Amino acid sequence: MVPPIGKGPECEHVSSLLSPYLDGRLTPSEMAQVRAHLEACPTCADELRSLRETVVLLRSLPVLPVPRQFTLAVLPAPVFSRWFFFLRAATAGIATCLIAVLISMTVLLGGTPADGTIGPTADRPLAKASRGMETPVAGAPQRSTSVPEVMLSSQPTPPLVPTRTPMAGLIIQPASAPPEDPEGTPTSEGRAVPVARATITGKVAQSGGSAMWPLQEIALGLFGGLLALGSATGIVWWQERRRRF
Amino acid sequence: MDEAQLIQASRQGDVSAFNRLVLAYQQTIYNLAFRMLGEAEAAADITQEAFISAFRSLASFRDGSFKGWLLRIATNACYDQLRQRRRHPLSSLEDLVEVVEKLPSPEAGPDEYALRRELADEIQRGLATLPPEQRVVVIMSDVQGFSYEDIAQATNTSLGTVKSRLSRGRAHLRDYLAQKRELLPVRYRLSM
Repeated sequence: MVPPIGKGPECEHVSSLLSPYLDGRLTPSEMAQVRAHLEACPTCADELRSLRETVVLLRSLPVLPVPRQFTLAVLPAPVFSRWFFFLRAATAGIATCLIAVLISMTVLLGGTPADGTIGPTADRPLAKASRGMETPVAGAPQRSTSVPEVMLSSQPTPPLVPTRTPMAGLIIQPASAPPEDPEGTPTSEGRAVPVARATITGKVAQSGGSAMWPLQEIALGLFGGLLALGSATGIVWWQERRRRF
Repeated sequence: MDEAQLIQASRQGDVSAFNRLVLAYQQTIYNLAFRMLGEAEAAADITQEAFISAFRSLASFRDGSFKGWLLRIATNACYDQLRQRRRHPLSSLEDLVEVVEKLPSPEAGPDEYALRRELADEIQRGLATLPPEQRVVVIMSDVQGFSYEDIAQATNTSLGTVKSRLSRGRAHLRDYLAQKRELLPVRYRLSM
């Protein structure tokens, strides 16, 4: 049998199988096909030999020693900068203040009498409640921001919702009450229907306090500061943690 | 602790446990990086980067070969490095190949040592001429002796792709070494 000269179509096919043939990664039928072709084709046999020598050369490359250890360093505990501790302390301080303000608001808004009203009642005359504040004049119209009107009726009071006034901070008035009724509405019993408007100011004044803080604004400000500082603390923590290793 | 326990401890932030894994695989990763990049300093940087990256992303490691997962991280880091070099070429490809290898002390004499070193340098230059996708497969298979399955996992490809890349890479390298036949030591010259 005359061996083929050059590379025919079968040689091209076998040539593509020589690499997995060397590794024994062909199917049994492919192995048999390649083996049969190699016996008849010296060109492909030479190609296989040179390929095998190439692989032997590659395997002769030495395993290089590592130039140093690549273990990760375990840093001591205080790995964060002063910035982190400052931000964390500031965040904690603001959070404490916010909690204090919220508690204050709760105390001022809470503690309602048994009838559910807030502010001065018949038992708690306005004259006492408005000490240090503007004094109501009989017959004179009252301003909406004035101290609370006297509650003369025992009728149940509508639900109260907090609103704000520029001077007195929180004011409590019925959700469905008309905005203005300075005189009150006489009833058939000759009593005035309660305007049911009371202020936190009244409570403060009644308890002898004189400070009138816009508590909602303070709380909102503190909340905003807490968000900003908390975010900054989180970012610094994350960045410094990434630098640990 | 076996490897699975070390991985579990590492996931919970135990750096000491992870460092035991580093010690087990650092030579494999470093050799892969060196053969891919041909430069000791860059290979060391890539090795360190790969371990840091592995520690950070341990949560994403699912069941399977940890070595394959680690090799994939290192391979991707090598690809990034090679892409960066292509974008910012500082020197020719030939210059990037660091020909000085720390071979063990020559036992067969200085001549044999010199011959082997010359051969290793030429093979390393030949590897550098391969496309990265073929180079990594040739290195893993023929230099490091990994199975097709490990290579497929490390390169995130199929077995068929591994076979074809290895076949083309070996053929390309054979042609390169045949061209450099006269430069190779006589006993290492290819017979074609």
